[in-house]
Amino acid sequence: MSDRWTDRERELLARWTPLEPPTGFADRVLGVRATSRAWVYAGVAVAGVLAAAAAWLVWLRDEPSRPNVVVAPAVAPVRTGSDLVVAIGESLTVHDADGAVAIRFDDHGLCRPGMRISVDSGPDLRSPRVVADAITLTAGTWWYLVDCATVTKLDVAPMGKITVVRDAATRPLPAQATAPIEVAADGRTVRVAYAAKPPAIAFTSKLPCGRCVLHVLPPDRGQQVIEGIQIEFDGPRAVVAGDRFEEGAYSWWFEHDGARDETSRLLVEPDDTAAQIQIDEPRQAAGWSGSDVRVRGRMLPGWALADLAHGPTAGGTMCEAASACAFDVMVARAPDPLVLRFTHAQRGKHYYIRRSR
Amino acid sequence: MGDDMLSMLRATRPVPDPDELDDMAVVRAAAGEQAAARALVETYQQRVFALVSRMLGQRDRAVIEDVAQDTFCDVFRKLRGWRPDGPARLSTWILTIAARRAIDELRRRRPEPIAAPEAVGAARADEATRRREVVAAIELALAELSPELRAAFLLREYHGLEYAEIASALAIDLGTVKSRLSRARAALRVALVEVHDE
Repeated sequence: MSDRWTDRERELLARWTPLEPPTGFADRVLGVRATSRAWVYAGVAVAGVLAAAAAWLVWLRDEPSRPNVVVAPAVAPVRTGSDLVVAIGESLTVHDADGAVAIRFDDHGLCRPGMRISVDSGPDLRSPRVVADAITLTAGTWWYLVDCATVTKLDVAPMGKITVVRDAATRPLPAQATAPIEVAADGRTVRVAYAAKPPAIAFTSKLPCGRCVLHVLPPDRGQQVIEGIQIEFDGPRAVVAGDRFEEGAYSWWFEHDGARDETSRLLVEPDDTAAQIQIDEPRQAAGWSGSDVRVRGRMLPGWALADLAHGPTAGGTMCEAASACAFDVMVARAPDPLVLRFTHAQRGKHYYIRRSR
Repeated sequence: MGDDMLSMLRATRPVPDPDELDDMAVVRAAAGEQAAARALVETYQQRVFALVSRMLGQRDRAVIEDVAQDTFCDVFRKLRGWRPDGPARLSTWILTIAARRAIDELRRRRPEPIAAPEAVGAARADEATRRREVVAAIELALAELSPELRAAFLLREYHGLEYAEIASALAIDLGTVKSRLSRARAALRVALVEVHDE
């Protein structure tokens, strides 16, 4: 039988007319195509987000096994040794001549093989963490967060603030003001900065005072008159001792026979730039190398040389005098570096570092 | 321009096939240009519908439209892979995709019964009725074939593809295509004779 069709067969086959495409079929196809492309783009976007999230999770998982890396320009992990051991959660200020301190966190042996340390210039701690026992901090204020690289949980608040100051502690201490600071009832604001303790303040009225009453109100405490600051006296001038003041903003005025001065303001603030501790010995790089070292210097009132972090207790003496106190102690077999720890009720813990070399 | 120059140009530039979309339009369609994409659909939609509707026979029109639509979606998705200097014309390539889509549809759905030609009286055997009888006879004969051979038959007899093109498109051995198409023709010829003799 031939494979060729006869004319009649062709005519019969041609009667099988196919379906015609409906009107607007091209629009329908192009519409579906646009929709599917939009889904593809959305899918690609979602896939990208998922891939980034997966990469982030992998990074988090692998982070503890990474070698020590630089966290921030001012922060680097320390491979061996440290200048200072800090209890986890402790906040302090470190004074160092070079302004770079290797700090080890004391986890009491809980975190083995190591800790994950995050350091940043703000409390949000957005910088990546490093796995290390110690880190180097340079001059500045740093927030840190510590936890164990393993699943062990620390039973202390693992966050604190460390301020590193480039300070050799050789500046002479400021002299305590002997004369009171004069302020007039002229409606202005006067700022009084103090190094150790607020000085005495002399208030002067414009009223023809015979027997005036001085009102000094800490505004943060509302309109309550603080006992002892409301003073009745003869004449237009009243002197209030410095120990009646503390850090804060005060409003004040004189009152006499129903008349009163306009309200003036007094800001009493500590001077953070003033030297607080002066260390005369040992001098920096004196090369004591394990021998006995004499530690001598002066500290402003309110400070206490608590102990020596790396050696025998050198004191714990609080300076309660009106002016600076001297300290002079011997440290046997002084370590290098030598860390002197001072404490102050308002200024906190300050560590002063002296290096042998 | 002289006749010699014209003939030389004709010799160096292939004469465009009026049944095919020009290559530049294909490139623009592949790049996402809407007008070119529309031109592609409008150029090939009749051929796609012809093949798909004959493949799927008496199935619902909506199914046929869906398969045709899916065919063009496939075409646009793969269009960057088609080469103008490749072995297949664009129409062959598109019909191949349509055939595969239709084969998938045939396999996915249970075969629907093909209605036998109605027995009608001579007085009512007008032309439309005769045409329906012929179509039913052809569909009945083709229903005996596998989906691949059904596609092969339609591509050969209604779309003029070469045996090699059919074998390549449907991944069937060339000799198998020839022998089975021969048998399909014989079966169809018998069906047509029966219709013709009524």
